[in-house]
Amino acid sequence: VTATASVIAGLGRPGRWLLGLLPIALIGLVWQLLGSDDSAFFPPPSHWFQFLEAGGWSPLAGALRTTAVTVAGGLATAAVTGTALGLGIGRSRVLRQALSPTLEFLRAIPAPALVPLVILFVGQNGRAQVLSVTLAAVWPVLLNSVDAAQRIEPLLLDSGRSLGLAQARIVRTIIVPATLPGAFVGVRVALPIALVVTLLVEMLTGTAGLGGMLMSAQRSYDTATAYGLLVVAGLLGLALSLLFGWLQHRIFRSWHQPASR
Amino acid sequence: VSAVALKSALLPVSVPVVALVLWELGGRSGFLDVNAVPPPSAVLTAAGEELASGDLWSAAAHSLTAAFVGWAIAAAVGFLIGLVLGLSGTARLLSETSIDFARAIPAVALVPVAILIFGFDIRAELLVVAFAALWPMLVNTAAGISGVAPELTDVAATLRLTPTARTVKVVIPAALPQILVGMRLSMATAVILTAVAEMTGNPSGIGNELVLAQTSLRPATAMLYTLTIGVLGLALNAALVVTMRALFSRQLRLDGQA
Repeated sequence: VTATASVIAGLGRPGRWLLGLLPIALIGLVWQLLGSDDSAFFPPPSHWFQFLEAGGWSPLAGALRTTAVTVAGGLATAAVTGTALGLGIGRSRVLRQALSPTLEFLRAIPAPALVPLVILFVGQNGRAQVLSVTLAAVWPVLLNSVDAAQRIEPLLLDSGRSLGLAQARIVRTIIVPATLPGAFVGVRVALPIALVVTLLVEMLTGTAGLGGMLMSAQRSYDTATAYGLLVVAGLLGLALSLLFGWLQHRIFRSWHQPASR
Repeated sequence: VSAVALKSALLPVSVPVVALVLWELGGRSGFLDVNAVPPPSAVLTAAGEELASGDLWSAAAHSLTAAFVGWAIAAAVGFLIGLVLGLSGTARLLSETSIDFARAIPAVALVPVAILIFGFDIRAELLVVAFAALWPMLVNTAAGISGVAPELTDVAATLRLTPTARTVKVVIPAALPQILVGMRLSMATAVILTAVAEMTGNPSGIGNELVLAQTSLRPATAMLYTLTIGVLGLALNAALVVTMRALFSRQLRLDGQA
């Protein structure tokens, strides 16, 4: 056992990352070997991406682009509104007292359940999609920004004041920079739910995008394609999560990190 | 009662009350389009209708069952896998990338596969719900178990406990607070994914009623069912917290968590 442990320890990060793929590789291999080519429910992995041979890459690439644009648009809107509201609420005790219970209640309503309401209010269009994602993603950003804005060290503000800075300058150079790392943590937390809501809207409205492709695979009883698209959805989720982790590292590496939830 | 205390008590209540009154007035005066944004009174009327017809009860019963059973499967499987991963660093290493990938799959994308395997059946719902609710339980259990203070395991070794006794009597109780966090997060996920699976897949339960209300352009009914899903989540969470306090009050008090 110790020999194995020392071999594993000497692998380095890429090696350990590859080793962690073992369960998926094993499941895939067993599935491929035992799966029957004409199985209606469990087609072997080699069949999952045959839709690419038939239809080519461009429908999938287009769908991924549509989905990514909706996720990005919703997250960006949520990031801006959530941070702005969070700054206001976090820096004002009266606002915090007045709004906290209301915000707690609104947050308890699951975002996917709002999607049909948004479609009713706004109509079946691109705005409904982005608004649904925004409503889902705004809460983690808002709550993390409130937290960060509330916990700015008084010493920082005092030094700003004793330097004779105007209030606007204090906001711009101290309060906003101290809140942004927390707000970005909120954006990262919001990412998975934003992706779920995007796919849900696409499935409900039957529009283009990965959700639309998934729905049409289901309607045409194309199980192999449904499995393939499931893998694509997972890869998209993983890629977005790695991208945002990298962005956070790049942007905030050199910043003073406040403790954030 | 001082004026300050009175103000801080009234302030939080006044916001939702004022918002509801303005919303109602906006609807009645024609300022808001009632066909798109129904006033609170219309939602109450819809609640009366759905309660009288029994639709709300049967939909809520179906969704409650699906969410609870899906969660129970996820909690059991997640606990067992989390326990193994928490106890063995090698197991963690050998599965980390795979778990990261599986967790990144948006559970809603599983709905078509689940429907194609099981048809329009509650089993399709359960697959989606259990898959989504598995990860919070698994990850929190593994983190809780692997984070148990080494002094505790040393004490257990000094007492010459067998590995099984050590795990059951020392490690699991010490990790209990974080395991309970995993159970609660899993429950919240289970409720949401139940609604999602019913909206996109299995045509029954609250999610389905919600989509029916949307497609037949009944916004007040749709809003009622959206609120019902929120209430369902809060109720299941409260039931879980009460049950866990009753079952594990001793362990949690020792840990200063109860």
